Amino acid sequence: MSNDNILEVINLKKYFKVSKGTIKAVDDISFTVKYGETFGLVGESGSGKSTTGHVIVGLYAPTSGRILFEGADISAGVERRPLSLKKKIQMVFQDPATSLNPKRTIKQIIELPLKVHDICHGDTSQKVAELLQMVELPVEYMDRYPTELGGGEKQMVAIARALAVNPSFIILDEPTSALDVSIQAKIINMLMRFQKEFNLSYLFITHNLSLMRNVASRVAIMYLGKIVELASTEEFFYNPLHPYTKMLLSSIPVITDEEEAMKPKKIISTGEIPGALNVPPGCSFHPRCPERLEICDKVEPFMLEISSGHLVKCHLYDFTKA
Amino acid sequence: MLEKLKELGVLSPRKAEDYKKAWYKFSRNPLSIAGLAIVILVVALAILAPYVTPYPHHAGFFVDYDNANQPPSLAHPFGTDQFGRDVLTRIIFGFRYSLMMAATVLAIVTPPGVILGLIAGYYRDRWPDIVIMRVADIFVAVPPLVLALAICSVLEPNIFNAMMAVSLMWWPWYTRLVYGMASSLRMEPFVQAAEIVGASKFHIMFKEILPNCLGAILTKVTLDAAWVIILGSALSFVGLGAQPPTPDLGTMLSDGAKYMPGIWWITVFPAIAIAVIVLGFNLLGDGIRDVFAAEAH
Repeated sequence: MSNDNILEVINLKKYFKVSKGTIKAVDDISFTVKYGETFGLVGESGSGKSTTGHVIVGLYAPTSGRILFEGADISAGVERRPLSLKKKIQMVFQDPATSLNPKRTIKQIIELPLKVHDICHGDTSQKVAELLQMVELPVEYMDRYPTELGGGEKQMVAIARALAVNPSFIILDEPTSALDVSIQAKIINMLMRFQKEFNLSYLFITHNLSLMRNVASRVAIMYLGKIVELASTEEFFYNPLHPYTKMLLSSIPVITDEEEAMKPKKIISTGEIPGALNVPPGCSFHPRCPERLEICDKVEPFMLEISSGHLVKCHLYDFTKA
Repeated sequence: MLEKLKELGVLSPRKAEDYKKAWYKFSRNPLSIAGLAIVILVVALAILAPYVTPYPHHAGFFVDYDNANQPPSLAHPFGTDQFGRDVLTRIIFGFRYSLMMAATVLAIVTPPGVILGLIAGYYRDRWPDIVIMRVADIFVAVPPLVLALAICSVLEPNIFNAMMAVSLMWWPWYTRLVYGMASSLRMEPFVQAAEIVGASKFHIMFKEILPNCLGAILTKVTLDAAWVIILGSALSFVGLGAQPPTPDLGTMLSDGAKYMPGIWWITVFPAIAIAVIVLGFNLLGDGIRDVFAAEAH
């Protein structure tokens, strides 16, 4: 059954101990990513979406829970992972200005994965040139330093670096949010093209909901380290269930009345995401929830499957208790 | 000169461009240029000492009581000392010892200091960090001059022991400098990207992190050269560094002090010489810092 899943995340937790207590950055989340799909992980800043990506790629070892990649457990941190696994999972970071070493040339940056994984022997120039052409950058950029390139160009170098090892799974951690709008579309189109061309699976982490509508096949929304709703993109946008999802969708700015009509009725966003150190009891969204029930600040809701593949974590839909 | 090197193919056009930019940033501050000029002049004088000094044979053991304690004149611009030796000649030879001491100490100290700092910074909060940094703290707690005094008074007082003593105390400063930078750089996404792809720890420490620390290290080396020269002179001054008749600036100061203030030139000119070298290295260090600070933005 699980063989159409490239990645399975099961009850994943990542806690950070700090002097003032424990930050539950990722608190018991489960989801799967199917072969060849783009899975969107959406959330406000501080919701734990980037931490989730970092744990999957192995930068942090999980506190508990399991991560299965192609059926094999990969829960160990980056140091314990075999080289062959590092070849399959790659990551594109949010800010290309910091994800490329300013002291290394574009060629040195792109050839590192080639050398580590012994992909081409001897002179790597040919392969680096191919990769640069693939991301539509001039081959002359090889001897340049990242600081001499524009933001979008740098992100393309980062993408070329990720693709150099022929990965099967790429974590895109807000790959466009640091870029100009004009370049965002270009990067997204390129990523979508490579996905088809190389049969890649993406975990797309973003705070940009409207972007998800165009690129993701399924979307999960995170709030304070927990997934509160998970559905196919269509379900997610046409039949949002969780009050938080509704709040977010209603706050997407739109231009036409037509679009306005498609949105859930206007819900005024209230409050801000609380600090991760003092997560509210019960449902962590209850202080901001316009539809809260009495039970909400006492009991944490379970994940409920409302319809096939549409999961929501909210007391409003728990009819067994009503 | 850059153009020539470029034509010869020694320098890639891109590198030449980088150096040009760095030189532009450096040369915008006239004080940096002054510092560079002083350092180049002092180094050149030290290297060419036997050829540029008027009385090269006065450098070592030489006595000419007939000409002792002569005030500055055309024949002896800085006068002569109590043994009739030309002070200018001895100052220029003294540069050799000062620079040699600075170069030796820094050459001994920088590589291990930097490597330990890289390791401790990369393994922040794990045992290599704790072991290395606590040992460094212990060494930092002892003032270099005090330890150098102790070592040189227990062992034979000579310039070699003085250099070893100073080196022993100096490495933790490089470890601390690099530790601070490495422990923050290791969290940078470009280091994480290298880890994700499976690069070795050696690669990450020396190829990803170290190049980003070089500017700060070079600045510190230049500024420290001045400190080591002061320290070396201080040791010689109290008689625990270079021994007579070595023409060391500190030794000359202490020898001449007895004759102050009447025969002032034996003391004042070496003192000015020390001040000038120290000033030169400090100005140069500040200039180098400007270049790398501008690069970081």
